[in-house]
Amino acid sequence: MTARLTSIEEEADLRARLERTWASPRGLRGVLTAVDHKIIGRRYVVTGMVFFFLAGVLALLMRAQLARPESGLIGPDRYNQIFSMHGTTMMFLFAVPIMEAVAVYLVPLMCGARNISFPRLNAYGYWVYLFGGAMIWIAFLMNVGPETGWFSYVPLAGPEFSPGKRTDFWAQMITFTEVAALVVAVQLVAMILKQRAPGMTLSRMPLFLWAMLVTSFMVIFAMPAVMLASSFLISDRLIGTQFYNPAEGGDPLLWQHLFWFFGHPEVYIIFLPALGMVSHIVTTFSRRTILAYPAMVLALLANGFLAFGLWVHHMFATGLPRLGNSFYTSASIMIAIPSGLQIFAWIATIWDGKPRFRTPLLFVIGFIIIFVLGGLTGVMLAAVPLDLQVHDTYFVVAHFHYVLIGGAVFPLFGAIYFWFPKATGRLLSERLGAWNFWTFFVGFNVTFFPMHLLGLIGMPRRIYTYKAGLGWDLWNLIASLGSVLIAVSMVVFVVNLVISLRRGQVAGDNPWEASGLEWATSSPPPSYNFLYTPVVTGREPLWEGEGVLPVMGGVGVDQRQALCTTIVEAEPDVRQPSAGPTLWPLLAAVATTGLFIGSIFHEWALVWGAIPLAATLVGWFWPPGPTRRQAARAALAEEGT
Amino acid sequence: MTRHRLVGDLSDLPDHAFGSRSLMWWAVVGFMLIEGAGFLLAGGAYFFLVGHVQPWPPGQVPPGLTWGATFTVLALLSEIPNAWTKARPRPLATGPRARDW
Repeated sequence: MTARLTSIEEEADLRARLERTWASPRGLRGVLTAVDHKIIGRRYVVTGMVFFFLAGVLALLMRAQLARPESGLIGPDRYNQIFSMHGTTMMFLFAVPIMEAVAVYLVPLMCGARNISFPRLNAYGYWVYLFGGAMIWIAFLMNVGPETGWFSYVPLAGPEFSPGKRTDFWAQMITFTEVAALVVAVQLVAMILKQRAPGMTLSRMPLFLWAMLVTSFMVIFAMPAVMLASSFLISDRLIGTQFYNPAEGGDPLLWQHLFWFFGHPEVYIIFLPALGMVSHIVTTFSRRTILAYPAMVLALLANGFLAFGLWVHHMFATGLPRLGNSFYTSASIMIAIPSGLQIFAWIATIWDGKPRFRTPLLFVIGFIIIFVLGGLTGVMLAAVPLDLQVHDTYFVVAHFHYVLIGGAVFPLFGAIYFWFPKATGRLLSERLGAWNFWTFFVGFNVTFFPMHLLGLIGMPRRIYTYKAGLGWDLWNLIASLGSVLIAVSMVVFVVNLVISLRRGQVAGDNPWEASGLEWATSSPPPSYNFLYTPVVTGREPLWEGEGVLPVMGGVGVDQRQALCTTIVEAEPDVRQPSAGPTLWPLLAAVATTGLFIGSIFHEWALVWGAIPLAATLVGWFWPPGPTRRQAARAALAEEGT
Repeated sequence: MTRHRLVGDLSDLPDHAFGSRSLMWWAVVGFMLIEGAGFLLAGGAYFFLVGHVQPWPPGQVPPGLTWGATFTVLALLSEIPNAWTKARPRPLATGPRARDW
């Protein structure tokens, strides 16, 4: 076939036919049956941000309580629930899901595909996540919220010290969110390995895809640990097993090992997608390709591997053998190498480029500063003597807020400013963006920097109040004032979203002149994402070819079809059917929810709950009968003539 | 608006494939990895706890083998439909039905 430019008429015709094939149904049915990754991704992001704001409100309550000594605002029991819910929501309902949510939206677009690899599974994952999050928040509002912190150590979380159902709800929330996270991870692995645009070889893959690939494998290997741990916990609490009871041959340390075998990789599961986002923002706003691309990819892989070798640094205070401690100290310090390498590459890219300091890049600069500070205290905490000294103090609280807010939330905000125009068709206001950034940056440091000092002078974490005269009063007051500034920043952000959605500058396809495939389609993208299958000839597809995108035709137009390519070279291989809208994922998620919540109260719910679940799965997997399908197709063909 | 230059046509590609060429294969491998990781860690937990009590298993009589054995037999039997399905698609691969999957 000889290469030729497509004509406007044939594109219009194609557009109409693709729209007929790929459009989601309208009305309530459309809402409940949607499998479009953009619709699910958007919901996922919005839901994640709602949980972020809810957890933020809890943080404000804690700061209000701690602003002055012996404050009577919140009692100890309520305070326990509030800090547990804050951590739980931030980690399980915001940080991990929001990164996967962004990936659900962006990865298919970056791959040049029409939908995510498993559209129905994707919808199912979202519903399970939503129901799990709703469950734990409803429980919290009914005064049965978790009370033993976000890592719920036994024996505190065991049947003896945490009677009632509070910890059971927490343990089951874990199950919900891990199921949701795992289904997204599997989809992304399949998508990134098998559904990249023709020509997007592994060595040309955008760094966000690399980051999500590594992250997804980490999810696959890390999440089962916490599911196992929480299943042991709930069975200790519900049916009298003794996994964590030392009096009966169990061991509380088993919980810590299993939890942190998940918990430490989780930090990188949150952080690696953010690194991918940062690379895209840096490239776009520096107007040059990323420096040392192969080293960046290797650094992501190294982060992924090393992240599994550090979990014991959370357990230095448990009295493990010294040799083990030394190993985990060195592993913990070692992970600074790939992280540092990436920081240097970004700085060099910005340095060597022609940076335009728009809001996304501001957030990246904020990320670099804050994350480096957090990384430095991380290296300090990796040393056993120092760790023992500041274990469970506000120093640790300061450290992980620096790495998590600095390392993930700042890049996430940058990413929202960066990709918002793609998802909505309108740019966010730069002026409000700058206000958003500076109030967040200053507010963050005012809130969390004093916590380093508080920790060093001995303030333990998770206390609901403290006596006057310990030298903690001033720093706590300053931290609380800083948190108000963060709240102001978040209000600015929401105002910016609302105003820009209505009156923001119209973005066009590629407002930032970025290079990724996602910018090659309209904003917001149509239901079918791309008119043709894009062909990639380099690492920065849109910076090549002078405004003309090489494409291929021939992937289904009147039926939902997806292209599979080979893993390494991304050569076109197979055209596979892609699933359409259906109610089954929602029904299966409802059945799953019934089973999970039921099993909080009775072990037999596992058995009886499995029956409706199996029924919905059978409905879901029922092969479409040839006669009905063929009849529909025949009818369509008739319509066409 | 992006302009497009058609450089190839994919309509000759097959509309189904088996093994690692199929997307489904990757999903199944993904879930096997998840389950494998779970089993591996459960095994790890066993070895973590086994040294704590002498003799093992601790305390009372271990649970009966009926349910465990039933489960194992069912799991083994579930291979029959798998093998049956695996044997089926090839003769159908060119027919209309295979495409509909």
